[in-house]
Amino acid sequence: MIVLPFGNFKSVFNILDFLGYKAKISLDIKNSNFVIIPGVGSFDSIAKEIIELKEILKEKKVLGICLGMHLMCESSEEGKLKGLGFFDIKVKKLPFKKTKIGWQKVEDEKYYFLHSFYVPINKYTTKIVYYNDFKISAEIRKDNFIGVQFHPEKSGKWGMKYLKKIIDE
Amino acid sequence: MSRIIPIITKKENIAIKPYKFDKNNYIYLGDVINIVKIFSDLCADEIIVLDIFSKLNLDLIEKITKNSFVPLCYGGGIRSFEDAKEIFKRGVERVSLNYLARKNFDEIRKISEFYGKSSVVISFDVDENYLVDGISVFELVEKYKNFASEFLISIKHKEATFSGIDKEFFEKFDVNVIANCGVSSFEEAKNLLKENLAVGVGSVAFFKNQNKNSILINYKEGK
Repeated sequence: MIVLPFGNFKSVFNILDFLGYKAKISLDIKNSNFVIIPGVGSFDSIAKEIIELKEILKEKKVLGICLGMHLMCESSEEGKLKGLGFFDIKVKKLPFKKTKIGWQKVEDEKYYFLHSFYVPINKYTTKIVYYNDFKISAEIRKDNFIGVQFHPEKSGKWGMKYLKKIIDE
Repeated sequence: MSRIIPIITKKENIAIKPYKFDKNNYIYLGDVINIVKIFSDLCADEIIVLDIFSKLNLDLIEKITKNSFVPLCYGGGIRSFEDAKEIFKRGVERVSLNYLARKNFDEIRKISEFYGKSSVVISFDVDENYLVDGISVFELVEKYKNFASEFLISIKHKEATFSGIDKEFFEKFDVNVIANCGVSSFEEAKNLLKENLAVGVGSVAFFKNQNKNSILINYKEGK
């Protein structure tokens, strides 16, 4: 398992380590079967680096967290550069004045969200989160790609449960 | 979005609880790593760790973050983009910037551009007139609101007084604000959640009563 060295990679590594998984923080993904793209950052600052990994990355099982998920899309209103395009969708700006920060229920679980950009509901949406009546993708999936808007590495016991499920799938 | 956030002020590796922002008048709480672990195990909404002596100890930050599986925000001693970069590398989700907000706008801009607004909290300590270094906190928030996703606003003379949060003041902001200093009880904090306020808890997170003579180890999330 590889955690790419972007965003809050240390937090992601820490929880994997705590859960007993062997993970490495590295850009060398050739021999790995599962890669995690962490969040925390800005679209363009990571897009310009991650685009170099596109060809190898697309053959792997990939979990993108928050900005990591956004980077797996075509593009984002947050930046000017292109994303990896694994999901043919565009990331948009949330129509709220304030950044969304806090815990939200998703089905029977709750997770921590911290974002001002989002993935609209689309054909790949597998979990939804509601901000009052406004609904957005909490999880998207396509083949070997999974993206989550929330931070499972920061969602306490609910996040640990989610990560275990995804890794063991 | 409402959250109750334990605010852990520290000196080196020891968590302390000052009184009215007086750095020479504080109560010793315990090892900061252990305390973070307890709040993480109890699933606190979020944890903020502030080194009020402005010393940046990266190794200590790394040990602290290893013990938190809930979001952790760190502040204290951050003087540059480079400092922030080293902190993010060690597993912190958000940085709280206080000194830079008063002394170096440019570094804040750099941090915000690279790490995103969502990763930046700007912290203001206000006096009885809601001023920071003589400037209205509202003016300061207006200046910085495009660079931070949230403001931690602490009313200095209310710290550790259990006198109640100054709700009227905090409701005036139209940005995300963490209301800090003065929470009188856990009940009050829970009630403030209903008003969609994020509340910082210091004394209430640690002490069973206002006499501060017993440590609360059963901090519970009221959800």
